[in-house]
Amino acid sequence: MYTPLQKESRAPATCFGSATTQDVGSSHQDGLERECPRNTDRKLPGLYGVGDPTAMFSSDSSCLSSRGKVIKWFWDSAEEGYRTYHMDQYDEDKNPSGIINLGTSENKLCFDLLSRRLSQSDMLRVEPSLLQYPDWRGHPFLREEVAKFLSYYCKSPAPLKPENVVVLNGGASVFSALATVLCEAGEAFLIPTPYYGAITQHVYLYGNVRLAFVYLDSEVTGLDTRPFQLTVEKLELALQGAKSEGVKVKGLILINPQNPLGNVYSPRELQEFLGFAARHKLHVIVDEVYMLSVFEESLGYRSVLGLKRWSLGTELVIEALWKSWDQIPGGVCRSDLLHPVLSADSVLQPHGALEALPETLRITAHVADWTWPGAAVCCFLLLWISGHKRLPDPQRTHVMWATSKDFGMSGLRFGTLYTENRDVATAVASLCRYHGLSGLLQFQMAQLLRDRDWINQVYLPENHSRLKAAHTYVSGELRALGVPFLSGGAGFFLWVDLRKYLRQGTWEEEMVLWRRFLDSKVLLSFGKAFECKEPGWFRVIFADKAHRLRLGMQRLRRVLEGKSQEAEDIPPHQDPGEQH
Amino acid sequence: MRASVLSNSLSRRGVHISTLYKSKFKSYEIYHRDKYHKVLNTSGFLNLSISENRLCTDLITERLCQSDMNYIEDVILQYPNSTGHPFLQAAVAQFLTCYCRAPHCLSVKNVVILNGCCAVFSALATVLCDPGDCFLVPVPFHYGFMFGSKFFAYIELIPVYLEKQTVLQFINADTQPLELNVRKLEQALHEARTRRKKVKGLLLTNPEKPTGDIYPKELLKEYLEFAKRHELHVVVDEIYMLSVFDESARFHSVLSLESLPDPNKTHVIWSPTKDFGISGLCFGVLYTQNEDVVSAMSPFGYLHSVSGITQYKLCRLLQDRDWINKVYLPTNRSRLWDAHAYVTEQLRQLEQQYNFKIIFHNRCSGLYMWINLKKLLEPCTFKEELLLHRRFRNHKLILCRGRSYMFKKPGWFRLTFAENPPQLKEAMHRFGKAIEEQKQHWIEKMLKDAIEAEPGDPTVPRRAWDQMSTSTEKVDPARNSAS
Repeated sequence: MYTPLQKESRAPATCFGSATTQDVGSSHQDGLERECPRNTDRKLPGLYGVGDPTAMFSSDSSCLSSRGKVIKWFWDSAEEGYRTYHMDQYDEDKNPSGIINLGTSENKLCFDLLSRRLSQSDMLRVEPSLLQYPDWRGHPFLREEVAKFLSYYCKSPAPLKPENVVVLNGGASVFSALATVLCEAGEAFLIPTPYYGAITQHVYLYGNVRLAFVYLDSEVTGLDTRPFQLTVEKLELALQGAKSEGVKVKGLILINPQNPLGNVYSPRELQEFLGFAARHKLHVIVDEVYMLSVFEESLGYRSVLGLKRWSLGTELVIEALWKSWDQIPGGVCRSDLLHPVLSADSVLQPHGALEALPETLRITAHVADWTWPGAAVCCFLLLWISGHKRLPDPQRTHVMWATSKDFGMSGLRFGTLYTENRDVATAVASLCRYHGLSGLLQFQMAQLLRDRDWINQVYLPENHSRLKAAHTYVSGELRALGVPFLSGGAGFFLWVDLRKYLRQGTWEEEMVLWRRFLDSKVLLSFGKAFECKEPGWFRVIFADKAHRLRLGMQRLRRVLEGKSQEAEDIPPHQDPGEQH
Repeated sequence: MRASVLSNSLSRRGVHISTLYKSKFKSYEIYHRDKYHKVLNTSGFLNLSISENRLCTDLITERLCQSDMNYIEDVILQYPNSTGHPFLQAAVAQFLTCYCRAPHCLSVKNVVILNGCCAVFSALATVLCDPGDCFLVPVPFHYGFMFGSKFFAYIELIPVYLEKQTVLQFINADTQPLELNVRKLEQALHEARTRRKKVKGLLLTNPEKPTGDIYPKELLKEYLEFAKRHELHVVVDEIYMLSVFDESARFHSVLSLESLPDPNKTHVIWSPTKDFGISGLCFGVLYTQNEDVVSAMSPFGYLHSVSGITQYKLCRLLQDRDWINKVYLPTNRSRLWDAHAYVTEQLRQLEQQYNFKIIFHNRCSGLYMWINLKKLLEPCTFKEELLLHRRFRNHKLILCRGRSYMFKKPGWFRLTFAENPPQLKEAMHRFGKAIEEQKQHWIEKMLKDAIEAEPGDPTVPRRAWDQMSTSTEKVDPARNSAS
């Protein structure tokens, strides 16, 4: 079942080895991504590519299996940078010249609020059932709270159901489990780049599933209106590209709000992408971990779970149809014909409705004793309505959410999957024994999610205003430096264009610049770790305390200014004393 | 329709995973829908199939409620180190040094913390083996290990059968119906290699899960030597380390050995969840001196991560040596002892009452015992075993059956005795009723066989009649009390 770890032949236009580097970097969730200097002088990617995590490695640990060696290599290469940071972590009092971490995507702005809330007495319950083996999908009380929470914050048109919720220990596990149950070993998910690179590892470690990249461009071309814009055409191209290389694509991963772009997909775009996936019978995994970290209201963010079911016009037509149906002789007893198309909870797929139409048409005409044209009009309406269904393919749409980002608690390891597909939910739940989380924590999470007053009146407003302030500060600094960047008003990061600071547009140069930042004691994430198409993009985290941000930006400025003046110089080593 | 949807949305392995899970965990799910409660649901299911210590919930609850447990700081809320928070790694290293009686202090950097022993084993198997490789495992073995091997690591577990029919038939208190020795290991390895299987390691459980026996130090060394001879990894699961309730027995951890034959290939799995009855906290540990293995395990830290809050609580718990030594362990031991004695006594009474031999064997450790009810199966097949399992379930009692644990012969059931006394009493009552019904069923079946048997065949009816007459004699309580 598991594809042997062989280096595979690759088409020259694509950039396979890059997956490895990206993998390497992503071992530490966001942020601490590292480039490996070995991976240089590679051709820039075209429009698509398929990642092959095994393509680049050499290691010799006698005790490990060959895949064990690959996995270890992932880790060791990442470890290098992570170790540097951990050995010399900034501390205001104890180590003021230590490294400032603007690389890991964590919200460090609200620890005060969170620790106060988590220390309240209602969090402290311990009871036998919490200490014993749970229902592996998650304690029922928690799944109920998650369903209510998501219904409310995703503004879902109808209440979401607890039985569609599976609770796991973090988003990483959701990706891993879904990859295993949706794909065979060696199959792939489509993903637009740049993207949160750790996903490569999550789907590979156990699932042996790969990613097929949809490379997006920073240049605005054609009909695009913004840089790195995803369109259905690009998805189609990448899908064809992967197919042409014999890679079977099983699904599409969308991160919304996007990491690292900090932007959101509009509801219309979402519908289009979901429609694309439905046409090709692809699963869609929508990662919405930054759902509540949209601090610019004007973005008009909408969760996939909150996509409107019908427009008002559709609703009126439906009502009319039901009424006329009931009035026709024999209509009431044949209401089963309308149900699959009209009922709100229907899981019927659009093409399914299409297939059912001739039969509906025939019986409609027969039962109602209508003329064929009348029946045809009726059926046209039905078809039109089915095209307006909430989700193009709810059975293949799986939504992931976690508290890590929105509640700034990546260390608490709590993630959820919401899927209407019972088989998928059951299959993922079957793996939950391996992705379980403490019953005590489940209780605490339920208490937290239940406390709508605190979330709405205390946490969210405060969190958003702090995010906004930090964002304003960092973007102001960058503007002052004359550095272009993208930021959409969601998430914790800016996607910064430092291409002009590279001597040449190569990955090696990107790495040189990144090292220069690290030498100056500020840790960033480089674009390669996100499988960005062009060297020179960096992700800068702004969700940190003011004093650390200030220092971080100071150091960043120093590197960039030094760099632009003495471009040919060897990177200067920072004098540790000067940060005092 | 249903089947097509299933195959449409899931991968083949996804379908396998679901199907296997549904078949294996049916009882578990039924139980979760209708749990016994002493007031609210007295007719709910009692579950003696889970290996969970429920005897000391009061103690552990009280301890976890103390104020030192409730502590939140930035570090706890942030991404942890992938092998665990250093404070917990240190606490685990100190704890194991002390309770395993390690000759030297165990090193913090050898500790990998994940969310459960099953997770530890599946990640470990993934980094030690390639797909299709094998591990030798004495039967019966942990179901979770089997699932993880199959669906995460894609390795095969090769059972090493311990049953010996001759011993089973003439059992007395001194012989062991299930025992592991190097000869059996050699034989299993040889057979596997003849079948061109690539055997990469050996998985041991000490205290031994099947029987609750403890490997003598010498035997343990022999196993390790055996592994070294054949260049096998040895994974030792010591999850029941502190659940040895017989004072006279002495547990020898692999970590207590002065020198290991092959330290780079010896890996210990441990978790406090069984010993402290906190399986719901989802926590497991790997201790290995092999640095490569530690770093290869690290990426799995995210897929099997443990919450910072939980890590902090466990750290406090493991550090509270006073409470563990003076309060928890003595109480736990004596309660385990009592529960074990109670169940043993109940089984003996049933044996006498219905005049049949229950083979059971538990010496001094663990939370459950394996019992053999093959004398009640007619014919002695796995199908009948399943029917008996259902009969227990009809009496609202859930037990594990041997088939799920790869037993070669039918009739084995696993019974957890580490249950609260009132529940345990009720469970044994239900067990007795199910046995009575089964015996009745057995008699009827024998009778039917006898009637249906050819008149010319004297052996069948006579055997049946003979056995029935002895049974009915014994069922008479008056006669029992008189004697």
